[in-house]
Amino acid sequence: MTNSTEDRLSSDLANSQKQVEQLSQEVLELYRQVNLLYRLGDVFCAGLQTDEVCARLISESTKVVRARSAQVVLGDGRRFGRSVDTPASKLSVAIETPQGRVGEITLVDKKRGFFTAADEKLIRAVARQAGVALENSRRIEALTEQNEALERLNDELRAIDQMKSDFVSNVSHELRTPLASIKGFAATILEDREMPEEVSREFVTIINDESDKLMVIINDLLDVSRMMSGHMEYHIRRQPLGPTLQDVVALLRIQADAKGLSLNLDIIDDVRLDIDTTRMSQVFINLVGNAIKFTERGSISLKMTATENETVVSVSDTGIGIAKELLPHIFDKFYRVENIVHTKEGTGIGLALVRGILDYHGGRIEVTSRIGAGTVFTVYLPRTGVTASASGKTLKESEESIL
Amino acid sequence: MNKRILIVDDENYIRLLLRRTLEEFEFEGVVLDVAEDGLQGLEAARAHRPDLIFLDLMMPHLDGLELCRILRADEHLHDVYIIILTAKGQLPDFPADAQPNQCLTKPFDPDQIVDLAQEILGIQVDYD
Repeated sequence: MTNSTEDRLSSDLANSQKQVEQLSQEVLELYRQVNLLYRLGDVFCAGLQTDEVCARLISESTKVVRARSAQVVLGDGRRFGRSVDTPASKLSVAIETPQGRVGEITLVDKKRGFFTAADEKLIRAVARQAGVALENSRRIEALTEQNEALERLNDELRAIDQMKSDFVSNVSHELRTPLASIKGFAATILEDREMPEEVSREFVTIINDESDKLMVIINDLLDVSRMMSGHMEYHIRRQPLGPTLQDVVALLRIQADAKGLSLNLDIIDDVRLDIDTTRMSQVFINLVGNAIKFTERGSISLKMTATENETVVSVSDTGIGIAKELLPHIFDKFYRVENIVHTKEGTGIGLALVRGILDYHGGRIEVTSRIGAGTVFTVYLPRTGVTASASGKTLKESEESIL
Repeated sequence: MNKRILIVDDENYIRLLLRRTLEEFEFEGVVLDVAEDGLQGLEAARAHRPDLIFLDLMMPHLDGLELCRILRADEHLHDVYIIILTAKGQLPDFPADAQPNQCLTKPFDPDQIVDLAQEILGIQVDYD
C-alpha cells in the first residue's frame, strides 16, 4: 500500500469518526430534548397560576434549545422574564390556546444565527403546552372569581335572611304584647263571675284598645307586603293636604295628651296636590306616631308651607333624637333603631312604608336629628302631580332592587 | 315578715293584669311591689328584698337581662326566684351570669302564674 492510500484511508477514518461523534452528539441532544418534551406534561400541571405557567415556559424553553434568556409577553400586557435590547439572535413564537393567541415568547442569545428551524418547532411544542396551561389557569381564575362573587352574594343573602328572621321575631313580639293583654283580661273577666260592671267595662275597654293596636300592626304588615309585590293601590285625586293633617293630629292628640306632650299643627300654605289622602294619612300617622313614641317631654309640631314647586311638611319633635350613623338606615325595610332604644317596640316597617308611599307620589323625605335635642322629618310633595303609572313603575323597580 | 312579689314591666296593661292576677296573694299577707322599668325594679328589689320577681325583658333604662345579671351578682339578692315574662318570639340564650329560674312567653296563662307563685312562695290562695 502506498503512503498516499494510507493517508487517504486514515483521513477517511478520522472523518467518519468525527461524523459518528457528531451524530452521536446530535442523537444525545435529541434524546435530551425528547426527554424535556416528555416532561412538559408534568411541568405544566393542572392548577398552576398564570405567573407560574409563564415562569415554567421560560425555564423549559431556554433549557430545550439552550438559549441564553427569554421573555413572555401576554395579551393583557403582563411581562415575565428578562428582555434584551439588541440580541444577536432572537426567536419569537406565539402562545396559542384553542381560543386564539394569548401572548408571545421571545428567546434570545448572544451568538449570531443561534436558532434553527428545528428550535422553532421545539419552542412551538413547549408554547402549545403552556397555552393549554394558561387557558386552564384562566378558567380556574375565572371560577375562583365566580366563587368569590357567589360567596359575596351568599353573605348578602344571609344578611337579608337574618333581617327577615329578626323581622319575624319583632313582629311576633309586636303581636304578642297586645295579645297578652287581650288574653289576660278576657280570661280574668271569664273567671271572675262577681266582677263589678265598672271593672269589667274597664277591662273590655283595654281589650278593645289592644285589639285596635293589633289591627294597625296587621294592616301595616299587609301594606308592606302589597308594596313589595307592587300591588299597593292608590286613588289619586287633586285635593288639599291640610284636612288630612288635621285628621291625623286629631287622631293622635289622645296619645300625645297621655304623655303630656303638646301637639301643634301650623298650616301656612295649603295648595291642591295630586294625592291619595288615605296613604297620606298613613304617612303622617307614622311620622307623628313615631315622634310621640320617642319624645318624653316637650312638643311635636307639624308645619305645612309651600315653595314654587313643592309643598313642604315638617314634623319636628323634642325627643331623644337619632344617632348620625343610624340616619341613613332608618328608611330601610325592617330596620329599627334598636341600638339606642331597644326598649321601644316597632316592626321596622313604618318608615319603609312612608318612603314607598312618597316615592309613588313623586315626593321625598329628609331627616335631620340631634341626640337629646330632637328629630325633624321633612316631606316634600311636588305641586305638579306626577303621572301615577310612571312613578308606580319606578317604585316597583326600587322595591325589587332592595329585595 | 311578709313575703313579697315584685312585678317589673314597662307595659301598663301587663302590670295591671299581673297585679290583678296576683291580688289574691295580698289577702294572704303577700306584698305586691310594681316597677315600670329595670332601674325602678332594681331600686325596689334593694329596698324590699322580694321572694319572687316577674321580670319583662325589653324595658327602657335597664333591660330585664341586665337587671337579672345585677341581681345574680348581688350578695343579698342573688337567690331571688326570677321568672322572665317575655313577648319575644324566640327565647334568648341567657348568659351564665344572668340565669332566671324560669322563662314564660306572653301571652301567659293567669292560672299558670298563680300556680307558680303558690308553689314558689308556699302559700295557697283561694281562687274562686
